[in-house]
Amino acid sequence: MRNIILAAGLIVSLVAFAVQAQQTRPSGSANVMALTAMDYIQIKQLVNRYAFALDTASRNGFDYADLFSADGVFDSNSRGRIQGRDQLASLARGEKRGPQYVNHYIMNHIIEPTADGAVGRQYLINISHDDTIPSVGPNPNQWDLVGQKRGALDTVGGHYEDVYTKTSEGWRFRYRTFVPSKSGADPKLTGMLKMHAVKPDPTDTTPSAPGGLSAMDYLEIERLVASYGHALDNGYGTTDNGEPYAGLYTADATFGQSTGHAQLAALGREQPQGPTYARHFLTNHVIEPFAGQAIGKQYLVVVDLPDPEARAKGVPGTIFLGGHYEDVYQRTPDGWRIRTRRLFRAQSSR
Amino acid sequence: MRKAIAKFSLAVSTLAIGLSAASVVHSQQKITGGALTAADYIEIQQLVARYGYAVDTHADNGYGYADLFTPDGVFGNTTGRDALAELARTTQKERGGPAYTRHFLTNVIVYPTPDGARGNQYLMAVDVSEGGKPSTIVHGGRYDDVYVKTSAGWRFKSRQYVPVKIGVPPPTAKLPPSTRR
Repeated sequence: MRNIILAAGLIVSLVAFAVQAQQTRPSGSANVMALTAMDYIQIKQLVNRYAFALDTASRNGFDYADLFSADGVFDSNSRGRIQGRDQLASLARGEKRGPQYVNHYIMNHIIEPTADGAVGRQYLINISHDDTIPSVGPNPNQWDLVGQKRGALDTVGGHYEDVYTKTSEGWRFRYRTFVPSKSGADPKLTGMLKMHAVKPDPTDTTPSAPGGLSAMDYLEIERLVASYGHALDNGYGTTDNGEPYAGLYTADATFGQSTGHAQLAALGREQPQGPTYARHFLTNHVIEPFAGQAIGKQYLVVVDLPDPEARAKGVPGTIFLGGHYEDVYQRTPDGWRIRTRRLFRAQSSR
Repeated sequence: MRKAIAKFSLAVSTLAIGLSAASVVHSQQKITGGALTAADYIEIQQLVARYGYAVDTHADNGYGYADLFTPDGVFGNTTGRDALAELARTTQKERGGPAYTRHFLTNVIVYPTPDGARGNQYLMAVDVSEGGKPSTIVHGGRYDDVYVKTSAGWRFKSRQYVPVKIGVPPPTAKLPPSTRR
């Protein structure tokens, strides 16, 4: 019965989405809004803030509500169309929340400009992390902990379908719905979103306001953080990860109890690694200008993936650790670097 | 069909072993702006982000996937538009469609090169639960890419999948407590 309600809800949602998409989708590609790199970045930032706003229910859910335009709608499979600031805020105040709660891991964000804004999609996987982790002795050998299970994927996975609108406050969701993953044909869903040339703009290299960030600043900070796993897990495909890992930081940087280049390199070398190893998955990267520099936060999930041998035996991957990082970035002559970084383990307020 | 998947996996694994032996093409550690514009970075990010959808939806009978590559593009040991489309069409044939999600990519890094760009991402392949069963992580690893700007926009010139493999622990894995988190 529940399935029937869910299915009915989904159909209603999809029809509503198709109508929405049709209203915004141009008939030809000639009359689409030309989006700049900063437009794409701000739309990505909107989506990256979504997970934080929903999982933490910060500002009593209003951080979530304020990601939507005044007439914005979240089309829920279970609750129908949620519209209006109070209603959206109430939706965000779910059962399991809190400042350190992380659950929504969003990836593969694609965007297509339309006549009056943009549409987009992302993949979502929900991961539940254990609030308590198994106790280990003092100074454990990190290699011995590989494969320790401290969380699991939820049954929820699929993709979001969005309509974005540019308001005086910036890009906002005008419509958002979630489509659970499902095999088979689905005539209600449109095909691939088209790729368009990105319009060059002065904000590519020059911030629009003093103390702000240019598009290149955002992109370099994105890449710095996206490099984290590559540097730490496989030293960019080499046999030593210590220097590559410490190279992500300023010379006097601090991460946890490690400060300075030598300690950070040692911290990196202490972690399980190998030229083709991959373990640290980071996503939902939020970046903000701050006092001439930048700050940011993002989700982390450390996954112990099965290697080809284990995969052949049907051994699934396991979740080792989850949480979020909070960072301060600093501009150096060599590019943006991490000045400080803190890890907050996933935890729900109960 | 199962045979086809097994064959594909085997080919990928074999290739990966060859790659790791020959010291893989992976991005440098240097982080600079280089010769790519902000628009180039965004367009390449958008190309990479479409990869999962192209594989998982089997869009346009596999050509949605093939057209992310140059006409002579390479994925693993598959080369050329028709071969790439066939690969996309026959991979996970029973599981796929416009609402199917399996290829989760993140840690997207892109670097300029004299001829264009190269980059990497991590993959987590998830068998998302259908009908309330738990979802499972099936496999994962890293992609090593070369991109080129064509008249139609940025495309994959080549893409290699390098499945995860842990290294060998050093003999002295223990370090002073002061360096610990």
